[in-house]
Amino acid sequence: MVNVLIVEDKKMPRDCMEGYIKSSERYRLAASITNAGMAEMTCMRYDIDLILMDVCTEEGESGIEACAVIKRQFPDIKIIIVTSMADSSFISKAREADADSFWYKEVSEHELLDIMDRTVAGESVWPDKSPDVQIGNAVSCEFTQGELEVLRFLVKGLPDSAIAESLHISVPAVRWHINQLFEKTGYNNRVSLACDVINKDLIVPGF
Amino acid sequence: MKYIGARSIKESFDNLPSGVCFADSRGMIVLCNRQMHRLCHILLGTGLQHIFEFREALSAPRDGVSFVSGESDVFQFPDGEVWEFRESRVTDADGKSYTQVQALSLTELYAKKTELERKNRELEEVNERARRLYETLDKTVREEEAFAIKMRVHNDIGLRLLSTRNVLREGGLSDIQKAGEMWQTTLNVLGAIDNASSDKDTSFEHETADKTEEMLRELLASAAGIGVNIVIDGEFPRNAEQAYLLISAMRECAVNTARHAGGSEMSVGLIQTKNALAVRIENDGRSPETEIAEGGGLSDLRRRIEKAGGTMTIQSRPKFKLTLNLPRKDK
Repeated sequence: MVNVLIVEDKKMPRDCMEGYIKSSERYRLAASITNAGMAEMTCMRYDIDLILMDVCTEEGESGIEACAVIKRQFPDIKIIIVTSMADSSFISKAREADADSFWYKEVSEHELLDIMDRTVAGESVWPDKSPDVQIGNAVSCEFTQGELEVLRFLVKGLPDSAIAESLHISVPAVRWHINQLFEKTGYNNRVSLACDVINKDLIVPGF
Repeated sequence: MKYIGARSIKESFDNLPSGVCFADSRGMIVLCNRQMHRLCHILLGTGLQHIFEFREALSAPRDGVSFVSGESDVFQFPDGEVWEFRESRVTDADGKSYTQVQALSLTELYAKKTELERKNRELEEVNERARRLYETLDKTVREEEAFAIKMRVHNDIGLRLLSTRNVLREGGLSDIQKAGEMWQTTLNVLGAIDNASSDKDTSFEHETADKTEEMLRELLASAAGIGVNIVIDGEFPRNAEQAYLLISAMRECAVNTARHAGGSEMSVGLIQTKNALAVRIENDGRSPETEIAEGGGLSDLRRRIEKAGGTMTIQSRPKFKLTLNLPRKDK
């Protein structure tokens, strides 16, 4: 039996994942918590083999950061990062945090149990890319890396000069990227653009 | 020199473009040229014999012939031509008196007049529009300016909301204070400060308190699960942010008590002052063998505490002791 810890603050996906585990004879639900900050202590308390770890959990605690901590203390525990958010930076951050697998809750073509089986068997299962979301008239895959980087600071409400400084590019370059974003999405001001980007979780500030 | 007879007089009269006829003192028509003859046929339906027939026909014109408005003796004929009829008295060389009726074509003049009237009407309409435009110009310009300002305020507030969201998430205490001052100014400018509601606070506080209590219960149970009994001395903070920072610190220390010190009891001393919460966390486990090097959990905790404007001190000897100073941030 594989002991599973679920870290997920939203009731519906949590119920859903618990349902998967209860339906399987290979897995046992060891604990289910809502705050990633409690994950390390929970791993000390119970004998955990596998963690299904959400990225954005209660009190702004990051599942990816918790993953890094747990992997240092318990390298044998397998961790699958699960998220429904389209933010493409999550995949690279999860790799840096030494996560074993990565699963998109709503859009993955693979079943969660299949990912869990393969991860427990030592395989790493990662999506090729983050899911596409519609931003205005554009689909998120139409944005270039440069545009996405500018967008990441734009949603924080930073002025052009501060974005330029953070990215080590010129102010005209920042404006050019923003104009490209306007052209692609059809928005004509940055607030509308930022609101849509945040609403669609293309960028999740703080995680 | 040729003799001028009645025939040649009639012929020359017939060639006139105007209509003309003469009646004797009894009203009998004595001379009528071709043009007048034609007009009378249209007016009367028959040839003209007596001046009274003519006057009668003019006072009540037949179908198809109409008065031209404003003029009593100007008529429009069915073919569109406009004629003016004038009566006058003439006396010949022998002293005999005649009534002369003239018909003058005003067709061209009338067409020009109509055209002029139409153009005048158009001009008047244009004038009227211009006048209205001029009257509302001021208002329109003001409205447009107000709209542009509203758009700018809307966008500025939007940007500021985004950056505030970011400051609240990632900024330190001074950033939050700065953002707060900026909002205070903004709200003062917008005159919105008076309406800040206070009735919502109580239910919100209740919710926060419930949530804090639940998190604390979960922490105590978890710590007990890894063999660490947490004893709290003092009142647990009601402020949500202080409470969560304290819970984070207790979590880190409980893990370290179990993992490094092998302790079974951790004491948390709390003293709430007016502006800050002073926290002291100790445990009954082994003293650290060397000075504690902050890494991973502790440095992450320090980052959070300092971002919130607090201070954190770690003492390794003679026993492990962690002290925190967490500022109040309710208002």
